[in-house]
Amino acid sequence: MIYAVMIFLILLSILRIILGPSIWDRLIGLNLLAAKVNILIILIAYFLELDYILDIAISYTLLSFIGIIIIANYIKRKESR
Amino acid sequence: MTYIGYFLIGAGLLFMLIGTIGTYRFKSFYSRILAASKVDLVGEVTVLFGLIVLNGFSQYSLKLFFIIMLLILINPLVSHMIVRSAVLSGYRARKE
Repeated sequence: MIYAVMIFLILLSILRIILGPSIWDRLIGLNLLAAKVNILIILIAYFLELDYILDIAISYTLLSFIGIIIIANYIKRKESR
Repeated sequence: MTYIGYFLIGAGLLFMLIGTIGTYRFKSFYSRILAASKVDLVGEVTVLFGLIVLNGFSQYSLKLFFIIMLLILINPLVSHMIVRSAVLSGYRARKE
């Protein structure tokens, strides 16, 4: 049940990425998607009782943070003309 | 304790659902980022706090607490960087 709701939320976020009108809307969708995938990893780590997957969740949080900030800076230089 | 944990997880999923639908209901970009940043962060923190309540005191809960602190620190920074990139590039909100 919890997995089904999480997968539904992930599909909604992917739809936001697909039909966002500007590129910053797609970036919002990417932020939502990264957070929800992170929560899904943590839920799987709890229900399967595998403790070491939490380290993957921590590194996934940091990597999505660095990735979105680098993409935002790149777009800012690209569009400013 | 189990009922409180599952209730918190359900409330967090409801918050995340409201925050994700909010990005569809708002029409302009600068009001979309409001629903995406605040409501969604509250949902994530509530789900992780429910998992802490389910698990009790252990090393697992310490790692979950670390992830919660990381999310509270990082998510406003990411929203701020996206809006800053849009403002500095001259993106105007559409007139309704």
